[in-house]
Amino acid sequence: MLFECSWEVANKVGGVHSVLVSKASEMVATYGAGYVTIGPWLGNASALQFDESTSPPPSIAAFLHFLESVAGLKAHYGSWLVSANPAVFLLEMNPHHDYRADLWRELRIGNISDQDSTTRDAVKFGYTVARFFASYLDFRDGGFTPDPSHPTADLFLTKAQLPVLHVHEWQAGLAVTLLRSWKKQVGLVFTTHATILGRHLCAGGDVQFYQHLPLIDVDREAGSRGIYAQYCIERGAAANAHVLTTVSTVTAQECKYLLKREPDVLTPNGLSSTTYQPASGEAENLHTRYKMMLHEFVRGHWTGQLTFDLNHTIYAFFAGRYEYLNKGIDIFLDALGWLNNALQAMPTLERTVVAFIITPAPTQGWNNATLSGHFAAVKLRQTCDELKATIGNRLFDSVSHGIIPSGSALLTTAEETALKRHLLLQKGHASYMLPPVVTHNMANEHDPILAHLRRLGLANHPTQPVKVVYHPDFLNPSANPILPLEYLDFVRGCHVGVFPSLYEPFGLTPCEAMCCGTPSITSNTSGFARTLVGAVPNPEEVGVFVLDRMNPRPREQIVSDLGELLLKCALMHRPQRANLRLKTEQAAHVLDWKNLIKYIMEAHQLARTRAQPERPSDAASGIM
Amino acid sequence: MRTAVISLFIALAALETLVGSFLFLYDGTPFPSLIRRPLSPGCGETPLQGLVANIYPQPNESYPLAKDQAFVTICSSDDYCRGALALMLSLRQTGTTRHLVVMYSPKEISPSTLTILQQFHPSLHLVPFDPSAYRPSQRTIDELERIHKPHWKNSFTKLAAFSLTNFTKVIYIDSDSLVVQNIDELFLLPHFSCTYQSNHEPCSPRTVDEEDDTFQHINSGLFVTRPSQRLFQELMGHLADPSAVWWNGDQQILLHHFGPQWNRLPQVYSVGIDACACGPDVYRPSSIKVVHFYKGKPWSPPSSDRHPCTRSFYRLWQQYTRNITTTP
Repeated sequence: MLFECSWEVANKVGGVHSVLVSKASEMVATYGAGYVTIGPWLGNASALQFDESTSPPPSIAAFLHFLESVAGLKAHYGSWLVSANPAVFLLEMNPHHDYRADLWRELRIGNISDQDSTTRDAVKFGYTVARFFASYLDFRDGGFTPDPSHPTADLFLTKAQLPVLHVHEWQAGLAVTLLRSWKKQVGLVFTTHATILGRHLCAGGDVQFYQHLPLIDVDREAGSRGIYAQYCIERGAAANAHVLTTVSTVTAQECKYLLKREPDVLTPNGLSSTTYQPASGEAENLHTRYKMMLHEFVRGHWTGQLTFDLNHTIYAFFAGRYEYLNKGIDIFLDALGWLNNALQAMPTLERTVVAFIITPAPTQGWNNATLSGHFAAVKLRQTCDELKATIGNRLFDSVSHGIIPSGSALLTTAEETALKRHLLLQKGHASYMLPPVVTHNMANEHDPILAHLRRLGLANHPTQPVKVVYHPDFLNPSANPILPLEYLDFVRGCHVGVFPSLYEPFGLTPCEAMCCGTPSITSNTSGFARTLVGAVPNPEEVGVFVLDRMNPRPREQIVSDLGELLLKCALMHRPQRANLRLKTEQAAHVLDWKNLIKYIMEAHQLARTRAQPERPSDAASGIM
Repeated sequence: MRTAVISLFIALAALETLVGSFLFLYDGTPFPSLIRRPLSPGCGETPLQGLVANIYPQPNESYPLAKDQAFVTICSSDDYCRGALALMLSLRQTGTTRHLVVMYSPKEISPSTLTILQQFHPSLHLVPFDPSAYRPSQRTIDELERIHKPHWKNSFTKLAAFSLTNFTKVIYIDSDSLVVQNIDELFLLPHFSCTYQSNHEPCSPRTVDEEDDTFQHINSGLFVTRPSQRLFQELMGHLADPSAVWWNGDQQILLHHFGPQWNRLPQVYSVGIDACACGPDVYRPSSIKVVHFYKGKPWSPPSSDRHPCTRSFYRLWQQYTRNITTTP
């Protein structure tokens, strides 16, 4: 029996959600009906990913009734609408009972303000999960008569094997501490994907975070940042779980120094191969197809000002949350400036780099220049497509009469005029400004990315070989008039992804890029790079370039190193790139959950062993 | 009146520049930059010192040498060492701010050449090396004899450039080359970048072609690298491999080692001496950065098959070496 519990079950918030979704089918394959997930019930928001079962099996119905009548808990049972549809319990949280008093009485964690809804939600959720699980054990052991004809009755059948509760992240971490202190018979696994304190310290711009790690006074830092209760919950969960796991050697260090416990097992995140690889060897074809769509975008964005050759253009991109320092956006922008200077110094290299920055920020909608440029390009494309048909007919007709027409005879005067009108339209569009660096009107006029670009002087000027398109929103093909691409298709169309994060516990973005066959640049502070370095002898050969941000170095050096890596990617030419793309795609199988699930199984097994009921001989020593 | 005179001067200077480049195009007169900066000996010094002092800027605070980057060349005979010095002078003349290193084999050069090297300039780094350490396997030597390229067995000494680990980045240039325009920008390039041999007809336009897959052929006449002990050991390991035959000399070893993972440099960074015969449509003289005397060495007696357009390059080389030949 495995119960997997997280705040992000059937609740799309961030990275943990993606991790759980991607490994769902592997987990179901391993545990079968014995795999159950537990998440929060968030009313209508939950309905998006949740299919409530209207007639649950009798044993479940009895359990739900038991929950409500005995424990006063309301739960929704159904299936989670992701691949393999795992069974899920979504727990309603009582809005009138926030457990803060209980928490103080039982665990002496207090000082949670009324305004701190994040922590209050976590306390509520933790208590609800713990009580749910305790009720589950009571129900199972309390004279329930199983119905062996129904498979889900398994849930209450297998008393022989200890159930395991696998909890992700601190939001649900309180359940671990509570179940342990209530001395319930359950194996507890706690996985931390990033520590609260680590995230806060790095966001403060501590560039030597990993050097300072052993010296940090954790209590004082947590206190001064107003996250003491959260930190207590997390540290309690880490200390009380039978098994502590984390995703990489980077977060393992954080566990050691910030949570004061070294993890027992490393469980690197993977990806589900089926979502990423439609057919192996297809990477190059898909790349070509989606690159054409990026070309189309560039033609629209540079309407009337397209001075560079798209065949010699490299698409680089950054994508991720808007964490300016943590995600290394500052370093990326500086490296673009460096690259711009380098390419300007060597015009014979004949390279243009278009850098996309995809990160959500508050905006006030599309800006006019962007839309009108794309509109003009779409119009031109329509006219050309119409012309194509008529010219084809004209050509056929002419050759049928035995005449091969000259080029000018193929266009009538009227058609030529139509094209000239388009030229004028483009010129009119281009006359008043350079192609905009940002596609939206920003709500914050002092947006750090824009300010930085201004400082660097990157303005999409024709003399600048490095161009920038800042798209302050995630990609959504149904609502995007200018770049109607799914994110993963966009990744496939690009040549290189750049993720020079300072703080990146795992790093899903380079992972996704790799699975799409797109080479990427990442930093050795990211868990992804650490995992990969352990798995393949030379990451560069499989399209993952690693930037050193771990060792303290002058900032200029980091920038020029990243610039050099970008230049290396930009200088490759088509046969080289195709070769690398193939190798990248082939190597992505090391990230497949099929190969990584064993670490999670190992953690579960270890928890089961450690939580076995005490034998009389060692009863005196106790569990805790 | 005075302003008129000054503007006349400016006009003349501009004219000179213009004429200079023109002459270079059609007549083979050396570069305008050289015309303005005479190479004649200074006063009161030996000719050699005078020459060096004149065009060899002293590193100082306003003219710092980038600490950890260097141009390097290798010579293992008297002639090639003279070429190496000409190359180094041409680098200084074009205003490089990087260190200059000449690696030479003390056993194979005459005492007088050694003296010239040592007295050349204090800021020129001289690094002796032993060419016998770079001898390929007997099998490779036999094969090279068989395909009539016995001289290629010396090409492996280039691998010595990878051992200069006190520099973080090194640009190696063959000692039978001349730099005619500043190429410091190449230090921006990543390891490993290299010029390449094109399969094209000699006079086809040589732009970096996206679809061109002739990149398989390394031309090690100029390359950018980040020396490291590990890399050096690996390359020497390939060289010592008794089962391998390196028909293409060091270039084949580099290709074997880096596979497809190297960046091609544009051809302007290694222009064959006879390329000017193709006319300005193929190589605009103003675009040429490095000339490679891959045949018709400038120190060997002129032969009849030298194209007239190459004269300017030979004359340029003569100017650089004119004073070097006179033993101080």
